[in-house]
Amino acid sequence: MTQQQRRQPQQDLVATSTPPVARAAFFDQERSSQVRILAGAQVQDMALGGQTVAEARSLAGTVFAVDPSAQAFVDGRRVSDEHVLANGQELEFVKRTGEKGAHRPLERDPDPGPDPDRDMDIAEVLAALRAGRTLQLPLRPRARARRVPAPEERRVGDDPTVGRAERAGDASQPDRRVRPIRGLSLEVTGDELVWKRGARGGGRAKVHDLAASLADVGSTRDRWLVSPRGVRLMVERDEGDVVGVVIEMEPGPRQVGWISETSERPCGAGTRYAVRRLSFPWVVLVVVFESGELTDLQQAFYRTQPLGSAGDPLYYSNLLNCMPSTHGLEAKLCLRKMPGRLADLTWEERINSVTEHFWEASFNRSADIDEHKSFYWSGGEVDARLADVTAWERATTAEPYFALGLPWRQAPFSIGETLERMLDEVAPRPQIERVEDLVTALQRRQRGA
Amino acid sequence: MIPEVFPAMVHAVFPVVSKDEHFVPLDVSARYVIAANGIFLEQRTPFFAAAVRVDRVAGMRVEGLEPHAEWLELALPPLDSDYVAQAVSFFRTVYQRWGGEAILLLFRERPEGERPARWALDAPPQLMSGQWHADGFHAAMRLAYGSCDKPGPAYVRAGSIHSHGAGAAYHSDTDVQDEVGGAGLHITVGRVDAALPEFAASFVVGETRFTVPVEDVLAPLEAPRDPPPHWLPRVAPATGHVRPALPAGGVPRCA
Repeated sequence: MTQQQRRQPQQDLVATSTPPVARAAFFDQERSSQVRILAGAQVQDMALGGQTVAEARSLAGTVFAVDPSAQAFVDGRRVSDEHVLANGQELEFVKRTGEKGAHRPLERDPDPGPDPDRDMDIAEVLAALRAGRTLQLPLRPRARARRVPAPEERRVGDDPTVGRAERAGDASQPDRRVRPIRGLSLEVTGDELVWKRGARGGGRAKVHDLAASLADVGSTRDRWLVSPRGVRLMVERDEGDVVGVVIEMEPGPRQVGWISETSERPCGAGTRYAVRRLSFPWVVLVVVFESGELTDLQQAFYRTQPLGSAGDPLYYSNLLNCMPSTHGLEAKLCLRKMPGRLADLTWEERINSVTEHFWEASFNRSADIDEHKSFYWSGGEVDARLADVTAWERATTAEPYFALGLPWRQAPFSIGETLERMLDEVAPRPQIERVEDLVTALQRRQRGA
Repeated sequence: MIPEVFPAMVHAVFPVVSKDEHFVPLDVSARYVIAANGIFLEQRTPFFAAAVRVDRVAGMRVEGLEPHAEWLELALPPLDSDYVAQAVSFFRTVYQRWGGEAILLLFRERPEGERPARWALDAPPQLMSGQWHADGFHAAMRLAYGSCDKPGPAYVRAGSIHSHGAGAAYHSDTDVQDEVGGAGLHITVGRVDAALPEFAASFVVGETRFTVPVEDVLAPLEAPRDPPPHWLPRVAPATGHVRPALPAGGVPRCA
């Protein structure tokens, strides 16, 4: 029996709701209504003569997974979705924009898995075909990936080659100096301040509003810090003597020293190490310095995306030498063996010292002597490929960036909260609520000057 | 039970056959195959023939029907070595200049008569995201690109070839998402800083990816060749996360 002979009974059963004209077009192989559909290397002739581009787009999207935002061209000329296709024309769908990268997308549909709403009983399909009922095949492509977001203009401010004055216009800077007001005075008493303008009245506010207003003014140029490479956030406390730093390091496979699985000693002399190539997501170090030196307040976290705001969450790592500490750090990183003084270095050199030590010092089991405290041991709960370092390395070889796709366990605080809590350990931010607080802050500033 | 109504007109354009004792290999330009393990779209084009699953039937097996499998037959010769060399030079230059990735679009001429069909490559306008630092631009692993005109009416956009800088050659999730529905050959070039870069190749049909041997789709990399001078000006760095949009007039489009 030939294919043509076999097809006939099925065709009789197909699509009772299909317009008779369209059915005839197929059954009779009538070429006159054919339109050639192109989408990438996809080339098919289909009976679409007389249909609109929108209808063809819907069909091409369903059958070939063509991007719904693709531009339509008929015989090389761009057309709208309302265009009616003529017999023998060529309709091409061209994807307008795309995105590549060795990077996990910011948004991704979850694994669709088995979806009962999308599964169908094949026996029902066959029964429908044989009974002459309308065939309603769920042929929509499975697990459609989320479409790349809609276009967005690049902001002028993104271009570092354009200076601020150039963007604003040289002559457009307003004169922000306030003209003196005769008779204006300010009195501060308790937690309140009162200003008077002679006979024209005045106003009152709280001292903490004054402090907030002064903070909003911003710091003077001598207090500005140029962020060293890799640093996403630097926050000063205590006249700049205490500085909290958030360091972000790019994901990917990295070569690190790791304690040998056969090492009899957990750390110290006689410990054996091996070089491992391991996949890491974004690694975030949060470090507090005082007078340029480490304060023993440093933490290590993971993220699957670069930081975007102070409210972004952090995730626990699977690192050795990183564990919850007894004094409130969720993910303390041991940097005890870091050599040399840091106070004499520039910020660039200081940050380099920390990051180089982080990657170059071998990871060992110093935190796990009595019990498994480090996050390494919980890796297997995140993903079976992290059950041990050998599995981790094997998975890295197979997929160098696989760590970016794992469901890391979220830490309780955001990056902003984490840094604030650490800074408060060393230099709590003074509350300026009353005139006494204000005077104390002024005196401290005068002493510092 | 059947959740989605398939557009009725599809029945008018592709026949439906079942995978039973009467089943014969693909003898029409396209058809649906209903098999014990799901529904497949089989088709033949000037560039490939393939069967891809269009829906799955979880744990289903029907007496009297045979299971079917996805398959691919390529009707494309390997990309010429000159083009491979130009692409590698282009990717290497971009990496040396910006530390980032780049992309080229692949075009293939439709066969006509006795005249041999040709490949063509062109650079679409593209923006790599990253950060500016004291020593220059540090590219992130993300690249947005626009469209590019075909070299001629007889050509189709047959895929893409893009680089991962000094990273490994593989198809990332971003790449995979981008290539859904972009039927054609998609190649990733890695280790572009090395003397011998790495390549990975997939052929995409609908939402199905077939891994194809690199030697089947790329001629060996031979003598270095400079890329056309108009490619590099179409690459621009940008700070922050770049969405696939391009600044109006900021980057020249293809001629």
